[in-house]
Amino acid sequence: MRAWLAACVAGMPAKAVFPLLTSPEQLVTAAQAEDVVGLVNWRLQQVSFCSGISTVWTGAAPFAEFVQAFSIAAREEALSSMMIESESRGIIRLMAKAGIPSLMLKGSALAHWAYTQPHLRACSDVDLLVPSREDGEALSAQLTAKGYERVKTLGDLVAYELLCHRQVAGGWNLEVDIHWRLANSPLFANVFTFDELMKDSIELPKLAPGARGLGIVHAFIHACLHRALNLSTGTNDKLKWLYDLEVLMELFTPEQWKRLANLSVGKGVAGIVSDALHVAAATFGRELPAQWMGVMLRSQGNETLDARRLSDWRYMQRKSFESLPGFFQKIRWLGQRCFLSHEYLQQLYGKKEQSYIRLLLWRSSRLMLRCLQLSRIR
Amino acid sequence: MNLCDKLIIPAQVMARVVGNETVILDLANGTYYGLDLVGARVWQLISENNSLLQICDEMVLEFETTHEVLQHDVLTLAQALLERKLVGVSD
Repeated sequence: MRAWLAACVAGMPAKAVFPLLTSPEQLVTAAQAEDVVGLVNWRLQQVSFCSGISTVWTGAAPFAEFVQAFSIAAREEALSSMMIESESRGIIRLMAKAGIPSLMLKGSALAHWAYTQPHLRACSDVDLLVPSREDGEALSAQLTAKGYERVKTLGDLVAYELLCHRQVAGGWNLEVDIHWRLANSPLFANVFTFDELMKDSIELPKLAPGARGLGIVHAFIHACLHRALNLSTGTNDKLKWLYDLEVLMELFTPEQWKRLANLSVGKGVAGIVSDALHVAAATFGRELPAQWMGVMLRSQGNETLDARRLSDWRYMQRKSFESLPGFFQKIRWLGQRCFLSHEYLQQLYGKKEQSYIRLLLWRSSRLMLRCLQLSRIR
Repeated sequence: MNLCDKLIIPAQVMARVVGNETVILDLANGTYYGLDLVGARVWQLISENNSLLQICDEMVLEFETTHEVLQHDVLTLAQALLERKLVGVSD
């Protein structure tokens, strides 16, 4: 199903075989898991696309039933997108008043400039980057004064972010992630400074006056770093994230390809960027520019992180540990990794009534299981 | 309300075109509505600051119908939108 969804999202459904005996509900569920309902629906609504696809239709129900199922599911995506957009506008106004500079990250920005319509990029929260933790705290205080609730996060060396959420009209739960580093791991936290990113940032006029997002090359590298961290925690590639890369590649000029290659090499993340490029290109059938891929390939052997081991949890944890400067930082990181707060563990495992000791034991057993499974796989 | 009126979309009302329908969300109470192709075209023309009469003039060229039928339908839809506070009448 995934291959067909990928081909559909890329506008080439004929390149993949439709999974036989799949019902509309099953296909919608699969698309929801990949966060591409809006994109699939958008493709299915295109007349030329539909006439091509319906002549070779092999689904378990008539083609029209699939179209209908996606229309209904896409409506939900559109509603969520409008809620998030409205909330983002409010937060941008709030920050402008408080004089806090910020950049919108990930889908919160991409939806408003890289995609033809904002609801085509599924989003579940608002991601913001501010210059420092102090700015994050200041923004968090403003948000709590407006009815947001602060969510307990991990220690400052494990999560470089603050989380706030609130329930809005209609029972929607909105989450705002305030980051003060581009990535939530010491491995990549200092790859770019806020000033570097701000210098290359772009305006997001479709979102709000004064809203800004990462420049295209930074946005691409950020998507690759985000993917690497997802893989390290066992979250596999979603089509939504890979399609972000495809959309950005579609927009790249030759000059931007060159900058992507050079910046990736300069920042020591060529392996990660190159791996993401290969996976996205293979998923959506794109040819990559050999010249710039060669530049990245030559460099990745000298990098500290082996991009072939991004899914190896132990390796990534070890690399995170090694990347921290000084003995005390390392000890603090270990402490923060091992002894999460009671409140955070309750949130993480959804076990509100459990004692701290029981939750720690539960976490330890899960970690041990993970290590054992990884050993067996290897 | 009459055909010379212009309607305005309040700040708490947002819309998205999703395939063949336009989804309208009232952020004040979380209620949403769907408009079909014809309704969506009326909504689009409202958002472009046209009076109801201008909307009819435009749409009579696009749809196989008469001015009279169109004026009746546009006024009915505008009234329904107004009752749900999805639009207001411009001063």
